Amino acid sequence: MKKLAILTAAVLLLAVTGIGSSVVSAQAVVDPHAPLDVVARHGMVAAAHPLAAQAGVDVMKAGGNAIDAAIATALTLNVVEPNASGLGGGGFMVIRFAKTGDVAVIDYREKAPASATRDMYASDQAKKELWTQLGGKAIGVPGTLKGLEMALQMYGTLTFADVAAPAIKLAEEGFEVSSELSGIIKDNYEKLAKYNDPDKVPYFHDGLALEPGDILRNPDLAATFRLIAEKGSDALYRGLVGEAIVEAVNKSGGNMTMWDLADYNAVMRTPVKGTYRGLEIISMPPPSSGGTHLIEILNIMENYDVKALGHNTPAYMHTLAEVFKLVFADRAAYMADADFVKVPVAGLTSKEYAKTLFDQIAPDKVLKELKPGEPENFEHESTTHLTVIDEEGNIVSLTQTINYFFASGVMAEGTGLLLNNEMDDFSTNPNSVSAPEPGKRPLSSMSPTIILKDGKPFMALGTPGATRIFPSMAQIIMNVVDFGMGLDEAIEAPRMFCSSSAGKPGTLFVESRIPAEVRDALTALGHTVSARGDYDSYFGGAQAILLDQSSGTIYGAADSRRLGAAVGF
Amino acid sequence: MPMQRYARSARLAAVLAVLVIACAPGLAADAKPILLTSIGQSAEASMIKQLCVRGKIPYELNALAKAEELAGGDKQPRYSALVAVVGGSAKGLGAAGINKEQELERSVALLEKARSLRMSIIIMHVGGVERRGELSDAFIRAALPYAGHVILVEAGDQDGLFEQVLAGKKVPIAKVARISETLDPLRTALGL
Repeated sequence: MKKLAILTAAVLLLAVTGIGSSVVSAQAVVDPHAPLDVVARHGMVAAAHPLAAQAGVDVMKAGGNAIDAAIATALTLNVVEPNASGLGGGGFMVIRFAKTGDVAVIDYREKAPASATRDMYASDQAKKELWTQLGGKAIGVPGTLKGLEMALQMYGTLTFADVAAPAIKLAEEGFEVSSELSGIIKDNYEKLAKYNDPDKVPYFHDGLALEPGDILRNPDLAATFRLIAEKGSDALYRGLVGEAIVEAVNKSGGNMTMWDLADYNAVMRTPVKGTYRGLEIISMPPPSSGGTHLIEILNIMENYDVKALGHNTPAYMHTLAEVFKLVFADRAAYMADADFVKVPVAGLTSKEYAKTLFDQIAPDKVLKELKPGEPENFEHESTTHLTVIDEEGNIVSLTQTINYFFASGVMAEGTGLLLNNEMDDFSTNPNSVSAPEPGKRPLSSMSPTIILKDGKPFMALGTPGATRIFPSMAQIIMNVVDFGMGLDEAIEAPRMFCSSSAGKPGTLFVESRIPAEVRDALTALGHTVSARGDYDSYFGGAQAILLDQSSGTIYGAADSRRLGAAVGF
Repeated sequence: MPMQRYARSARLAAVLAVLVIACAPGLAADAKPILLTSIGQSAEASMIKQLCVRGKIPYELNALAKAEELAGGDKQPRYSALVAVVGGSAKGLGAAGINKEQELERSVALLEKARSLRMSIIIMHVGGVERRGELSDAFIRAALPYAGHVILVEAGDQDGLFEQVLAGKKVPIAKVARISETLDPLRTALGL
């Protein structure tokens, strides 16, 4: 879709400059990965699908604020990017209000049903049959509708019917299936066909996956949105939609009740905060690990002259890999739902603690044994992402998910809703801090983030990508702050990822655009390096907005690793 | 009474006949199923399975079928044909716990065995352009030399790779626009 934006931009450029089309090479015009910031003055939505971004802009043009627009965009994504998020899932939202500078954080992460037990996924049978990923046992109590409703009622200006109107229209009239979406449906065909009547799956035609160019309609989902507009979230949490969800979960091997749904609530959280080279980072606290570890990474990197290391040089990538490995050791040891477990957030985000991790990293040696640090000593006190800013300067950074593409594969019949497999984010180890328990929220990496400069909004960003989320965001932030890249250039730049598990270093994954000689140098240092695709969605699909306070210009950018688009006005 | 017993027996026979036809409709009751497998572990084999259900083609789906499973104790083929749906999927390979090299080894051994058993080998590529690229192409190049018939969704062959690999061989290639349209050429290739 960026292709379309680039083409439009090129046409506008040619119109303005009067340059003939022969001057611009065709390849430059159609390259979907060419960095291009979308520029606007009044408002902007960056989302994972252009129709969803447009829905948000239309709502703002009709008088809605950033919160209204974010909800309209999120609901539209349920229709046009059904593989990644929807009312059958959960998420997180960070909102900053222009007038007061206050920040609101809404946690609408799924919860384990009351039937959950710490050892529910510990058996060999559970692991062999992928109980955490497929079917009813994988499904957590969904939270998205409660979260969106809370945001709309507390901070929005429009009704649910207003903000759902674009999504309802698209669900009823349909939209063209892209090659990418068709491929994702085909990839996930088996589970969708297994848990649902293939003739009733909206992503199928004649029982087979929709092909590129087909029209995808989901009238059941439109009817669900209409019912919610009439009855509120009770339609899902206490009504007919909920009954269909419970029936679908239990029919496919799970154990959920109407009580689980009625007991669900979105909650307000206190954001995690940190700084990076004078910028203020505001992000998502537990049960997401994302915000805490994003700050932890940046705190460690602040000890380096990042620019001098050089962008994506062996020295830079080695350093990042070591940092990521140490951070993942902490993640495994400490991170869980803070309502159930004491998480040492203050320690993990402290500069002093970061220095102890920095001291473990050598420029010429790879850490082979990873132990979690001792952040208590410093205690002082997946997925889609969208970013919205309105004319007043209110900002919403929202990340939500149903976990895997097409989630558990289970649809609640007659509702058009696909149900999450978020239980997969619990540990299968019953002794882990992140083992499932009744009502517990599974650990997440989602990191919707807002960054301030001199107390004023500078950037808002986020990305899908599971555990690659906060490492990718750290790279994007450093690309802007340390390497001076433009926003889209920072997003499109080649990425890397490394983690650790059970104290052992993981593979260092890089996009194949990282030159072979750099990969060889990293291998020589002792890393196990594996190249993935050129622009691989494994590393996320970031959507971001950057504000130039001096000129009042808003820059929007969306990741070409997925179908992202920024639309401004 | 004998008439009633006869009627009951006839009804029972009719019910059994219906059950047999339901299990293997469209073919004679003793017809062997086709073996449906994946080469590359993409999900498309599941869609061809769905087509077989709709087209009443008896099948056995085993995405990880091994060469030694092709023949029975009598050393005769257990299946009427081998239908191999080609497409590489890193996710599918990972879920199966194998890598590209292991999958290539399994696939080539399976195809070799099918050829030695003189089985009909039908190679299908139905994932379109999304199921092309380095990984998928490796499986395509490995499988095509064994093909007796090839069935393609044409969006997956915009660069003419299939004709290129099959150049000089008299292998019929059926090209269709959509996966759902592969049923007719599949039935034709199976002699149905």
